[in-house]
Amino acid sequence: MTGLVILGVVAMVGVGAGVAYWRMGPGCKHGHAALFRGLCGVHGLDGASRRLLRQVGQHHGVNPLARLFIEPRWLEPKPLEPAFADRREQLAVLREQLFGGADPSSTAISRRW
Amino acid sequence: MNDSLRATFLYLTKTQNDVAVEVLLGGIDSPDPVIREASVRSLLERREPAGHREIFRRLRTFDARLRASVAQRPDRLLGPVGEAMSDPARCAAACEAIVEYRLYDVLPALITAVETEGPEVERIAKSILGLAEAFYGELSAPADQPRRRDMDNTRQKITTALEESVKRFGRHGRKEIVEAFLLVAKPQNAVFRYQLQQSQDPISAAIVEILSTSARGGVLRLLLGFLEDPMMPQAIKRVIAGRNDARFVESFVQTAGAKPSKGVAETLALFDSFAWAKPSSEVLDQLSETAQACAAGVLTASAIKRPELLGVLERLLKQGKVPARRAAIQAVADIEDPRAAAMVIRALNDEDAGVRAGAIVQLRPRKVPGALSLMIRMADAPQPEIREALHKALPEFNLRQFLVGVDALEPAFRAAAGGLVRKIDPEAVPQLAAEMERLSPVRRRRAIVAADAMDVVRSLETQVIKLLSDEDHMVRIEAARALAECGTKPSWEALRDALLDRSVVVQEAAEQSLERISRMLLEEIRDGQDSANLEEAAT
Repeated sequence: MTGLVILGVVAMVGVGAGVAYWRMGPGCKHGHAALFRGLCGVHGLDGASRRLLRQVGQHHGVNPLARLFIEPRWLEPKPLEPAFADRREQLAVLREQLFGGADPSSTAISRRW
Repeated sequence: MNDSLRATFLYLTKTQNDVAVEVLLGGIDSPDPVIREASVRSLLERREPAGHREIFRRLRTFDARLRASVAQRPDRLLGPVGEAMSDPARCAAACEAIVEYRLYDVLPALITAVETEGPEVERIAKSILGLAEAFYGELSAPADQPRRRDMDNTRQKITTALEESVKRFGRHGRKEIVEAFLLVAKPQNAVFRYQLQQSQDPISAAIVEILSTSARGGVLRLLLGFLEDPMMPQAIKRVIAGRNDARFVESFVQTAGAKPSKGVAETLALFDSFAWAKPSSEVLDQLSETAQACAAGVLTASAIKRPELLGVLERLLKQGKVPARRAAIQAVADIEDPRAAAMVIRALNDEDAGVRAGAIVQLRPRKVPGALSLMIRMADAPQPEIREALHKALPEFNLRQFLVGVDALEPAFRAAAGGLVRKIDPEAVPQLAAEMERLSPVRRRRAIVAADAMDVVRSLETQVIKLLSDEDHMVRIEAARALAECGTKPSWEALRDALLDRSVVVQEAAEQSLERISRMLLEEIRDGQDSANLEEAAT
């Protein structure tokens, strides 16, 4: 009986810790990380794209990372050379996903940057 | 905006994650106007005051596009503006935003700030006035029905807030608040009427002063709202009679109209003077032509004394624009006065035919000496207004009258009278054509005689030729005589056939007409040859 109680308590503590971890980590709805995750979800980015985007952000020192979604200049290919030379195609796809089909005025401006 | 960006901003707008504000604030600085605008819109949609505060802080740097975005959600500025009001450094920006974005909900706070005599009291008082004027602008603009309901509620709130402050005028003494109140109040507003009656109270003097001097549309509207109220307060009556500025007079006379309605005329009849209704008034010259014309109607409906009325009408007739001169000459019509008669005679020389026409119809009723000869001299005028006026003024010169007496007239006078009838009665020729179809041979014959006298046989040639075969020989005789005037081939042939008429008298008449036509043709040929010879000799 005592064993069962102990088992129950341990299980509850485990579940609580799991929930807390989820809320603080991947399941958290607040904070910059959650906003970044949410925006990645909106654009249907897969794991590789998310990683690439995060690396671009770190490369440029963009903080918070969510700014990458409304500031197209960070995904311009030139400033990312040569660090991202081998992932040029991936970057082009990513830029298209986030700012694709951009109207002429915004594309022109992002080119000037 | 493309779909990807739209999805991004939709998420940033809707997410409960409040750090989205931080990202969006960065978006306001974007060089891309689309992103800037989307960031501002998202921030305004979101509830976080930090975003609204930042938008208010940067408001003065925003371009027209961003300002238009802010105008979509002006309610979001209420918080930051309220905070800024108490800060002297930000009060000016707050006041600007209040008026630009029509933050009517801030009005009670503004009134409190003015009444508590804060450091920026002048600026805030002006904002109250600006806000009321902006609201009046919205009220006067056409709006759809649901919006109108909102406006009524807002008007009620604004009026109530201002009413309370007006009652406390003795304490704060701010005329801006009184003027703001007058901009939105209705003529039947109880507080307005009550305060106006407190003649010993400073508020009454302030109201009268503003009503007498303000050129703001709302104040004019309030005054003109009394135009259909014969029971208007004496103070209002004095203000309306005393205002002498072109803006007010223009609105006043145009609202009353050239022909005031019964209600307005009843009110105008209470006025025995207007400051602007003087022959020497410069305001009359500054009025538009429509207003000048309306002024004549307003004065006629008022109880203004005849010499003054005639003085203004005379001035309008001399110096007014065309519609005003026309209105003035019509206004004179009901006035029996030697001065009015002199004005009518002078108006006969006006350059505008409408004014002359207005004078013509008044000549005989006024028994102007030589009126008949004056009018007969005008019978050749080509203007239709003049002909119409002569037709009205000389009713005896119509075809019906002429037909009755045509046989009794001497041939010389018959032609002169016929010529006048032709010029004055526009319906004469078609009526003559109808007369030639009458059953009575006497009337058919008279119609031919009249046509001959009026010199319109050529216009009625077909009908006259037809009457040459009439069953009545008297009609045929007149037709044969009249056709001598035509000299055309159909007339010649008809007259030639009439030489075989069963009546000898008709044959003789036809023969005489043919001889006459022949003589005329011969003369024409001779004249032609003479001129050809002259030309030959000259060359």
